[in-house]
Amino acid sequence: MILHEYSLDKHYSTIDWLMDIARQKYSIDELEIYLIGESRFLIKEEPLSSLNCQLVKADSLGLAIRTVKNQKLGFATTDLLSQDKIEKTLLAALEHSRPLPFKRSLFTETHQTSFNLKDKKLMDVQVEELLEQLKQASDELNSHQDIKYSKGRVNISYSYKSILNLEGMKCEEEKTLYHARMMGVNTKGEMSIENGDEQYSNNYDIDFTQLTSKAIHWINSTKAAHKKDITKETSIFMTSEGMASLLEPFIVSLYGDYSNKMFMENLQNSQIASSLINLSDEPQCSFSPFKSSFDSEGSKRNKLKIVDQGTLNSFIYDKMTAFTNEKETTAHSKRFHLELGGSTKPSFLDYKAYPRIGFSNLVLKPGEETLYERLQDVKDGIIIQHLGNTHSNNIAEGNFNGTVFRGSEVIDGEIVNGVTGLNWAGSVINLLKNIVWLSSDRKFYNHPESSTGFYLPFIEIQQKTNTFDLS
Amino acid sequence: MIDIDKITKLIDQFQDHSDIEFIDTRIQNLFDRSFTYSKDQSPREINNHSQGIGVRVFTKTGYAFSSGTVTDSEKIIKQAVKLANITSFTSSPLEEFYSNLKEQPSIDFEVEVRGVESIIHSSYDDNLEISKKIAIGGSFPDLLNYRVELNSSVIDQWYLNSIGSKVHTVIPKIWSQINLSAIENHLQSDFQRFGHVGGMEIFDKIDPSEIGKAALSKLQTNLKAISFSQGTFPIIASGDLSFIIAHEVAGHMVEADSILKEGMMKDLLGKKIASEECSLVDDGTLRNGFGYSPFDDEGVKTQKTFILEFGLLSSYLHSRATAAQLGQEPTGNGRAMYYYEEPIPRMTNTYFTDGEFTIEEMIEDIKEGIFCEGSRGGATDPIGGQFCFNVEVAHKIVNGEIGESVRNVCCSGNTSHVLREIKAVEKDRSDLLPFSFGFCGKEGNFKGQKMTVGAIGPAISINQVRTTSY
Repeated sequence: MILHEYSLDKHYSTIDWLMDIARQKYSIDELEIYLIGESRFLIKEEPLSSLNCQLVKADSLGLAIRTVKNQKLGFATTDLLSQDKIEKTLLAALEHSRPLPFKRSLFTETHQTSFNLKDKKLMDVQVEELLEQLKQASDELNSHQDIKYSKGRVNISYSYKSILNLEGMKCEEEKTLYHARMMGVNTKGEMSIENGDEQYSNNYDIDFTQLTSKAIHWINSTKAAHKKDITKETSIFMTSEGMASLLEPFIVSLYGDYSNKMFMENLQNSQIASSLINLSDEPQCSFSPFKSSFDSEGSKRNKLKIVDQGTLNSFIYDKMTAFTNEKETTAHSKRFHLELGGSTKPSFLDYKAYPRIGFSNLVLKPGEETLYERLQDVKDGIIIQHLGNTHSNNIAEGNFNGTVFRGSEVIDGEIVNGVTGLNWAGSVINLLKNIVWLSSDRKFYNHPESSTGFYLPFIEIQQKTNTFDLS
Repeated sequence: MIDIDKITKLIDQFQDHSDIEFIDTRIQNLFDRSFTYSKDQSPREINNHSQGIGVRVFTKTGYAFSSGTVTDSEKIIKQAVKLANITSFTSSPLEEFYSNLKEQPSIDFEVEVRGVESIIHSSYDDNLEISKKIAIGGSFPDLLNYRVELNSSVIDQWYLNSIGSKVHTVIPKIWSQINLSAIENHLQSDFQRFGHVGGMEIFDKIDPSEIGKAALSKLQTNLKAISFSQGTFPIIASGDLSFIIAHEVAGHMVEADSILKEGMMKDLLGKKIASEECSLVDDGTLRNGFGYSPFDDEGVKTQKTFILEFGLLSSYLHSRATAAQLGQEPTGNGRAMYYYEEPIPRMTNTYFTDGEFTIEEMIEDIKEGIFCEGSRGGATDPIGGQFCFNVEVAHKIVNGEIGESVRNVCCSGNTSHVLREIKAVEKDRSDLLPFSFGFCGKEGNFKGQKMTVGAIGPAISINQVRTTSY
């Protein structure tokens, strides 16, 4: 099954025509065109479901236009790419245009950039082979006595995007993405928890045997889950996913348009975390499948230090936020289709989205020891894998308040049982300041709410009175 | 204009293939508008209009789903047929499932909720005026920031299947949220939501500034609120919080896909899982509820389903597939966010039914507890039953009277325990106050599927809930 290969070249003659009429017929001062095609393929294997084997395919192709005429900015989108429909879209952008809050040109870049992460082997989806691998992996999970339910899924996607303007900028990106996940429910004990593991790649190189083995490890790490008693001597560790689920709600406090209304106000160049913390946004992080060399406005992306030895170094900006605040963009524009409900997470049809601020990959510098080396010295500890509901309580103040849905108990250096149901409340700044250890092993985790990549080590947090409460 | 007759003919053509058992499609014409008005940014209006088709094909041995633009309908149906022929089920009650699908009577319905034109034709100035009124309601001298979002959508959907059913629904919805922030002893942000199934005419009946005033009232209370020691307390959850208990604590547990995953409600039908005070329904037909829809996304009429009757678990919430697998009837809960996602069991408007007490009577009955109002969101582990939800405004209850306000209250626990601890439900709330909204996220094909759900119910009193306050 060949993933749809978008030959956007065929649309370039239409885009040339669009630029001509924009200049000559409508006297538009500035124009930005964002064209994106996406093809996604999903294979699902759930042995206990009536539809135990499912194939899903979805395609989309669309175009977004931003115009500037007489210092007024307009925006409109379409998925109908005939000349008459595109001209209507241009007119809609002009009709809905509103005054810019600054006197500065928006679409002035002239560079031509091409970024290619397309794996040809991945484009030709080996459906039967992948189905067989998923079935084998599910069978392997189900062969374990206590694992009663398993499911596997493989997502393969191809996207092609192009950003152009009247000044000659042309940014093209082609990318394939491979994501596999194996999940299961361990029913040993009174309380069951769904758990597993996942892996991302841009190539056709995911090893299902290794993935299944890791999934079984994590499924068993939460067997016989219980609500553990926490004492001052209990060591607290967090996985990459656990840390990402805690931090994700607060990353908006680092956005240029929010920073002066939230707890991060006036904290630039101040200590906001332990001196162990070196956090960067790395668009071209070699471990992330979400690499890119330009943002969704065509601005060239580079590594940006966010926290340097615990000190807050920089907020992030897209063009609109930067220019409104008399600053420069840090190339942090993303396009997420605004779903029903106003969620800004990326879904499908992202061409419909207005550019907004977002991180690419938040990368935390690792330590020198693996988690398992560190655990050898731990008599009593927990590893928090997922926190529920951290996002909801008075986010402006920087406090979190949630429940450990998934975790493991460590006794005498061994993961012995699952942990669930612990409440955790505190200040995110206090938590960051009390990080005392980072592992050398890191894991990539893509947070589904914001599509921010987190490449983080395991972390250890020291408990102190009045810093946070885990009980 | 979408050519529905052409797509109907295509389905008929493909249905004639001997290996195809059943085909259904959803064709959507989507309009959505997002209007943002805030203190320090220019007002912004984004209008989107798109069309798409999603096709499910069931063969004797396989199943596939394909989606794309309507202009590619034939290609998309062919693709789904091709993929369905690749898949191969290993063990499942397929025959029962297919007989359920094929023996359903063919239906032909058309439902359009009023208000479509007023949404599509409302101007930038109309939206700006309403947003300003909402903001004015929330204004006060010490305000650090305000942000108003005024959103609207029209989902015009055709459901067609290979036994000749046609269901055409056109549902306009409006939802708005104002966020306010200020600083006193601490930095505080609060919000108020407003949701409505229908058009912009609602703002002729309701003063938009009331939305802002409601947010301001919460903010001013919380600015003076104090921290509270954590522990286990009796709580009263107001109507605008009890829905989240109904939704997170009970609703997700009975979505039948969770049952298939060894969820905690498995094998408990007919068993007592809650106190006798507790009856709970999911009702997609509730016209004032934000989860209203006359049909689900599998062409099944929505209904009022009793999940709990006097503490007994009486039904799960089903899509067609889960109903067939568990040998039960579909409940009209097979819902999908957009055409490119498949229907899975989802709630609509889920709420406790009326009880016998007034809120005052519930408060009088508590020596030391917390009165909790409004929800900042919640989460559930539908397999293990852990849940937590955050409260917007909370007050101590001391010797049967409302005391000082406390802040950042989070309630948590396990479903198996909390449902048994509900001791009283508010009476006379059959109006189920309209004008609120909820969105519920759940795993989808590519990212989460976010569905509109109802967000109101009667107040409830719970004996023991674990709370933290930071």
